[in-house]
Amino acid sequence: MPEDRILFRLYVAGAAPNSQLALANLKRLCTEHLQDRFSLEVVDVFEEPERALADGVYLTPTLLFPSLTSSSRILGTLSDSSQVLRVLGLS
Amino acid sequence: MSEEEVGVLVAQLFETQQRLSELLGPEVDALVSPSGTTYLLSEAQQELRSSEAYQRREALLRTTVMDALPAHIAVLDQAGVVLSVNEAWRRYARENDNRDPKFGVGQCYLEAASEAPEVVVGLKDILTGKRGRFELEYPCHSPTEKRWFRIVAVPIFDCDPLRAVVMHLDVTTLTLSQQRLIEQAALLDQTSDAILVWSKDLEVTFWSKGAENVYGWSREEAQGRPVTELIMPTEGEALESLGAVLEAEDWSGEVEHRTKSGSAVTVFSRLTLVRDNLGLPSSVLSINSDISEKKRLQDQFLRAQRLESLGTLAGGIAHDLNNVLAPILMSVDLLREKFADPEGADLLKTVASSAQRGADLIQQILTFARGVGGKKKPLSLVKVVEEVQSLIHDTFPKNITLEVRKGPGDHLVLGDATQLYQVLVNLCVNARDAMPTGGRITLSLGKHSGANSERGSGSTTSAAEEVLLEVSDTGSGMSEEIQERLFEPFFTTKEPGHGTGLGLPTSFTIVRDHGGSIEVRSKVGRGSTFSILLPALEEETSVEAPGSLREPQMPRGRGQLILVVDDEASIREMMTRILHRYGYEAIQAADGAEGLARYVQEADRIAAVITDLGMPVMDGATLIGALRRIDPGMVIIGSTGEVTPENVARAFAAGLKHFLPKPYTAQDLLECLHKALQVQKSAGNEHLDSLPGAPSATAAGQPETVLVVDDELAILNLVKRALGSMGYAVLASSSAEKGLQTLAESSQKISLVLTDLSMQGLGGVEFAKRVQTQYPKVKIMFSSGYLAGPHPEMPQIPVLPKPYSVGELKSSIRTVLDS
Repeated sequence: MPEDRILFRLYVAGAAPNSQLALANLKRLCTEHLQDRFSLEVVDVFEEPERALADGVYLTPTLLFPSLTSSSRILGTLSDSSQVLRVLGLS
Repeated sequence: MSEEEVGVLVAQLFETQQRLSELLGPEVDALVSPSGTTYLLSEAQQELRSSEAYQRREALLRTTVMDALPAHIAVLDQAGVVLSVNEAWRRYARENDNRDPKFGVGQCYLEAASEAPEVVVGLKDILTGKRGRFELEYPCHSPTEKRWFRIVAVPIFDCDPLRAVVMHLDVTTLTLSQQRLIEQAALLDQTSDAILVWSKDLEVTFWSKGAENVYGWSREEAQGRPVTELIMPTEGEALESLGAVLEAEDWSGEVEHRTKSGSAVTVFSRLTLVRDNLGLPSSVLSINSDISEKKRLQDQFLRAQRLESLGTLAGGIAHDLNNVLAPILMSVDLLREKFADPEGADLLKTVASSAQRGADLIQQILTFARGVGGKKKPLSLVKVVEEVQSLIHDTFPKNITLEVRKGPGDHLVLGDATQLYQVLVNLCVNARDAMPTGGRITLSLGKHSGANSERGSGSTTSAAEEVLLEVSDTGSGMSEEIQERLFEPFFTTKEPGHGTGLGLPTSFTIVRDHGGSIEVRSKVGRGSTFSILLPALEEETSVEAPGSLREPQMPRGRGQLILVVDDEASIREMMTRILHRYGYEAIQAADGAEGLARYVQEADRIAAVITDLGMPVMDGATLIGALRRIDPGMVIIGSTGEVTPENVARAFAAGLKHFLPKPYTAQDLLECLHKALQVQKSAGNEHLDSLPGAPSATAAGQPETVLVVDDELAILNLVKRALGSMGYAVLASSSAEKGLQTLAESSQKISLVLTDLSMQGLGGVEFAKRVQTQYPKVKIMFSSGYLAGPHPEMPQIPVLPKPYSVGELKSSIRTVLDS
């Protein structure tokens, strides 16, 4: 099962509104489309800026897909769920 | 640090921020610098600041709204612990849960709801992000009342960890009314009436099971379709009722609707306008009872009533017609003696047969109308078939051939020859009419040995032996529908004026009256066969020889005075003349009252009273009752043209013993009178042996006495009666031994001994030898069932072969006596 689990890493800036919106949007999308076939890691840049630098993330919110070979990343509130689905190849 | 340099840097910072927001748009809120410092963008900062105030306002608003909602609402954390609840929840918990607040804030909802595993599983799934919103309805009955709730659970996504909102809605009222609706709909389906509702644009919105049955359209087919298209014919009252109900709120009446198959159905329809809560017409409720069957029964009832009145009418007419025919028939008997020449006799024969035909016709109407049974006698169907055969031969078209098949034997039945003849003629005429271009009629007569017959119309008999009489034709045949209605009165397939529709019903009545059954087999184009089964009589039964009654054997009176009571003057006149002519005296009265008066005047001399039963002033039954009180032994003969069980029963209840149906011939009258007087004389002396016959004056002068010896009692009685009616004195003995005894007592009187040959005990021949030796003057004659010529031992004694007619008896006795 862990093999086909999709990993998400979302960089947020604390309770900043766009970050919270992105997190909520991502959770809704996962519940609707992926059931339990995903893992979500939320990284707060206020607390772990070094991870952001290591991943080359300069802006929040930014979504990374560590389990995918492509180095796609999505910047923003994820209001358009089709963007994410396209990266996942589910649209 | 110079202020100037700070100013430049701030300007640069502002420009950088401007540029960044231009580049990144509104969706970014923080930057991470390479040094690891994170910068919150100013819009995000502002927003965070204002959102705190906003959230406070929002929280207040949320609490107000939640408390205002009637649903019980709680927010659960990821472990299912209740974080907050609204006012409705608190109130419910206070009312139902106060002692053990399972559902209060701080309690674990999942544990409290463990009795509803579906809810627990659903909520766990929500709280682990595995599913979204779900709804569930469940009963939650308290000991005192029934309640239903709907639970709605919704995840709150913008919390981490996840939370959920649980909402309980009390749906008891809704559920109860839904249940009531279901029950009511089931009730509506129980009734056989068609219940339907249509909207104001005529679309069907409700269609009951009854409607499915009445109209043939299923609920699915009917729902949503225009009612006009389904059941309303294109024109007529049904369509008009649609407009009428809109104007008058209610409408009811009998209308014709259509069914799915296109056939018409008569319904009693009640329409009610249903208004919406604004008072505007919204739909029409229609309750329709199928009354097709009721209508049919009503029609049938009316037909039966019509038939009933026809019967009454026919009965009345028959009475009058019988009174018209009676004098004719009696006159003919009298005139026969006056006009002995062949031409006169021929004319009288025509008059008599026409009058008889009239009487038969009346009998037929009465048979049908009242089911009056005619006189049933043992008769041979062979004779009846032969008569029909000759009628067909004489009157049917030549392109119709007749084939008659008769099994061996006489085929005896107990019946009325005229009626059975009529049945056969009816069937043959129908057969002829079914073959306008010719064909073959087969009349077959044979035995039928079935235990009984279950099929067919009419009563069935269980007689082991039955006579089967069949009439087949090769004609057009009949459809099932026609066969169904064959025996209905007035049902005819013939052209108007060619059939009364009474033939088969009358035949049916007659056959049923005879204890038989009639059935039909037919196929269109394949001809028809009518089968009649009648209970068979044993072949030994003695049959009155046909024609014997027509022999004018008129028993004479000896001057007895007869009181004749009848409201018809012509009948009174005629009876008086007949009575005078045949040796009686007569006095007349026109009604019961006058009859009683005349009787009192002449009581000593009157030997018998003959009275009509239906008369004005005092009717026959009353008169009979009065006479019986004066003289219980008086001989009274009742007579009527209208034989109904009621008036006959009433007369017999009043004490009537003798009955003479009108019309009657002079012979009928004289025989009946003679018999009645004889019975009265012999009353109290029922001893069979040596029972004296009626000694009466004959043309020869002194009454001659005949001794009849026969061990067949039926024959003994018949011969005794016949000889009595001829004017002989008769002694009867049931064996040769008893015959010798009688001879020993009164050999002086006896002129002739008529004895059977084969008897139990002493045989006829031995008996005759002894008579010859002991009483040489007495003449002897044999009657025999097997001898046609003289007996070898006693060739000088004449033999009368059985069966013999009354005429043959009379002439042979005369011959022997005169020798």
